[in-house]
Amino acid sequence: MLAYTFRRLLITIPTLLVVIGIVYILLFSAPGGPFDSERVVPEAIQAQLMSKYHLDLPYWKQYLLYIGQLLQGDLGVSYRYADWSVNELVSGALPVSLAIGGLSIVLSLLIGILMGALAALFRNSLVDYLVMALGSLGSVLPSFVLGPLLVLAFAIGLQWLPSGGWDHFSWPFMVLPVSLLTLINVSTLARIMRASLVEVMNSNYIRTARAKGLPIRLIVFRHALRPSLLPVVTILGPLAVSSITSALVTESIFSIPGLGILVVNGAANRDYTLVLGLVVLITAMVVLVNLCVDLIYAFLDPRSRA
Amino acid sequence: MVCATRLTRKTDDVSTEKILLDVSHLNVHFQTPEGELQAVRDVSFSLRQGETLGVVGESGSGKSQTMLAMMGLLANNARTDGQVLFRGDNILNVPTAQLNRVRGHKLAMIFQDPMTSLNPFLTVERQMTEVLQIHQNASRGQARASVVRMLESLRIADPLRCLRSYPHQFSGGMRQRIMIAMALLSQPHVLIADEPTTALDVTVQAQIVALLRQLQEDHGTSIIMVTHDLGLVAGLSDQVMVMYGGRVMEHGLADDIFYSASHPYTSALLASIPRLEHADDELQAIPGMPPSLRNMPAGCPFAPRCGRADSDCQRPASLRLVPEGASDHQCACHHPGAKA
Amino acid sequence: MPSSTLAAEPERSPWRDAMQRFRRNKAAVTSLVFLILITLVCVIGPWLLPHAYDSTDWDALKLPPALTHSHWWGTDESGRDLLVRCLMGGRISLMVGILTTLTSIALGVVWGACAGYIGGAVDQVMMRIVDIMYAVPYLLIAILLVTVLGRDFYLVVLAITAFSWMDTARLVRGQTLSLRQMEFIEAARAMGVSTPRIVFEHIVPNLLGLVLVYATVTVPSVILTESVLSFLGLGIQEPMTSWGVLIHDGAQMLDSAAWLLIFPALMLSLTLYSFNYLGDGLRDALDPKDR
Repeated sequence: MLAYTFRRLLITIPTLLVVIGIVYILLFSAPGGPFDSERVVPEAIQAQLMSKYHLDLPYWKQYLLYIGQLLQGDLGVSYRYADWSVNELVSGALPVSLAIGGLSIVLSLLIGILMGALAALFRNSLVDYLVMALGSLGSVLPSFVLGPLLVLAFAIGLQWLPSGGWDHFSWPFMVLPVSLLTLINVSTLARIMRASLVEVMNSNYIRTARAKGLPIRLIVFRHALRPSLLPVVTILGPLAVSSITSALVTESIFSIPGLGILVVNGAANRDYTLVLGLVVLITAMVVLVNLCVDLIYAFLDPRSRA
Repeated sequence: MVCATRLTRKTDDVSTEKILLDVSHLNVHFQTPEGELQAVRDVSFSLRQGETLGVVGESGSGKSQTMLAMMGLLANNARTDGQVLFRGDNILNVPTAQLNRVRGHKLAMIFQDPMTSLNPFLTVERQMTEVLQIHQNASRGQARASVVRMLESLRIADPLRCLRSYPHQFSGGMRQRIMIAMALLSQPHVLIADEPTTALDVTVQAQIVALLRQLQEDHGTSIIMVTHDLGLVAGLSDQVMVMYGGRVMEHGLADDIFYSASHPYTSALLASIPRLEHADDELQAIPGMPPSLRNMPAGCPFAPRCGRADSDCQRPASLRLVPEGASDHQCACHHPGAKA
Repeated sequence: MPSSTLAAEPERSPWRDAMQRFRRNKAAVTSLVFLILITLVCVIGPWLLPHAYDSTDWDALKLPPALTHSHWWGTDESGRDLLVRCLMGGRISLMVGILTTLTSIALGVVWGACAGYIGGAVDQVMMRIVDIMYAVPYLLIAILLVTVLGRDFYLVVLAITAFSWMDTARLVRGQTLSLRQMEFIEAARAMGVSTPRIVFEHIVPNLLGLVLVYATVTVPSVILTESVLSFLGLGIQEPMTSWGVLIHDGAQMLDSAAWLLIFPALMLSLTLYSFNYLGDGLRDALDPKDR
């Protein structure tokens, strides 16, 4: 188990390095330097700034310096928010994104698995159709269409909730963003859970369990649940990646001060180091999630540990 | 394929024992988008204590579906009618809770492919002890002890390590032994074995058959052995039932079937068994293919492949006593008795 | 014998079979018709309508949709006609979709064919790169690319292409590998000379169908990516507009002019749906065993 973890870790490192490399190359092959702005900066000061930010060194040296810096956990400084380091900006935004993202993942898993399981166990009945129709709402419309529709319905129409904004994790502002993210993920999870459980319930070993006269509750929870969760776990990796897109859109729609808005604003302002730092951070998080997913899978499936 | 020199007679006489399983006119239909398909038609038999019934037929003959119907394990779109009395109580089309009191407990079944029939995610211990915990209200410790005893009695080496392991860590033969052990835990009156050796090597096959025989001698368990291999039922069965196209073609005591086969299909099956003595002769196969459920012939299902078929055979043949045969030897043929 | 089986085309063209199967799939046919219609409308429509997409009308600000006045779908906060803007946006979105799909399929085909044909270490390296590309969070990089290179139309196309070619590459590589084996066997038998014609007579029919299906599935995914980028304000720039931009604008005006969101959202969703049904229909038609 440990050896397996180590092997997986080894594979993820090159991916990270490549990503950082790509991003780095892009940034610094951009037309114009990071300091080309509206104001004209005197040459002497420009030279000083360049050397301060190591921009006068050859590219490969800058890259190595950057990696070294990363390993110390320092994501660099923002070019636009001159007094702030990227780390500081991130530390303000990360908890917000994690709160919304984390909550929605937990809800999506619980609701999605429950819905998929109900649909599978009562296959082709009314329960099945209703559950799956409800579930597919999230995949039927793109996130940036569904989001505003939610706002239209609940904030403007019924006026139950605010249409956006944030106030120190107070719950009314969290309801719609979390709901949007949950709706999107639930549809995928429910669909996969349903298909998976249907397949498991038709398997030979469930037939044996029934032949042993075990009550259905025992069959579902002890015999069928674990195998049927495997495809769900597998999809968590790609789901994490697609959640980035959903999160960016969600934070934009509801004006949530999370990592997503930082990225979008950073990109709009052409704040290179900020965007670079964020891309590195988010990629690292995704890589970590994928690793965890692999480990959970190995834990659940005794056959894969061989 | 068990060599034909094992065609020995069974010695015990079970005719005075009471009837444990009484099946009358069992039918199985499947509702499909293309219409209703009948997989099993009018099957009847009875099984006494300590008796072995061999059910023989090709794939698609309905033999497995008959067993699954009895155990309530058919697919959702299946409909059954008829009567299945287990120790006097009807178990066909009864609520699941009622059925669960019987199956896995006094009426057990083992399946063809032990790899897919055991849960790969649970340890052997978990899968076996739960039978006793459910049916005998045993505690975890008691159940474990019983399981170990059972494994030992089946001469499985190192039972404790076996319990801790997962099914994929064993060979096919071992897994089948575990399946059998699991089925016997609750001392069933009847054990249904659905092609238990088909997925195994020949040498292992012989061991499993010997095992089943031993169990019958030790515990008096009645066995229904479902197989496509006539040779396999030879040494084990008291009665033999030959099925084809969802119907019973011939039914009688083992000796009568093997030495006085009346139905052309039975004769053809017997003729196709490879014999060591005739090692140089060509193997005799039955020409043609079994009918699909969708295209079942109107009359006798075997007619298209039968050497004796004529216009009479366009009408279905019902099971009748074989002329000049034993009192319990039946055959569903318009031209019984003559050589194929 | 081998060369005759190579050169002989089957009597019933597989294309005709596929066409028949496709025609029987009502959803797919409807989708195709819808897509053709919407493309025509988006291309020709703006020339036929009285309003230009960027002409502001200060007398008709935020007019709700009605058939009574000339702005059938209403106007936005600057008095611009929504209908013509939706159609112009459709032009851009569809153009981005088709252009990006073409380039990413081209890139994917070339990449996959090279990897499959050359084989060996080159193949391994090329496919490793594909794997790494899959692991990268593409939207972030797309955003980065757009940040760095700017929001010129062709740069947006480039940015999206960069992450859409991998599926095609994998597919083409797989096909090339299997065809390569076949080709060698045939080449060995057929007079010792392997002609490119053999390759074309086998690769093209096999691959074309699958590539077509992939293209039909890639277009909506690309349009979606462009829409997301535009929605975030990082895609198509003013004065051009796309459905994503319109939805972004509409989302700002939800409380006062909800139609500004609903119409472009409707057009986008219907177009995406149609492409998906079309893709399903094509896949079923070309490979019926894949049900």
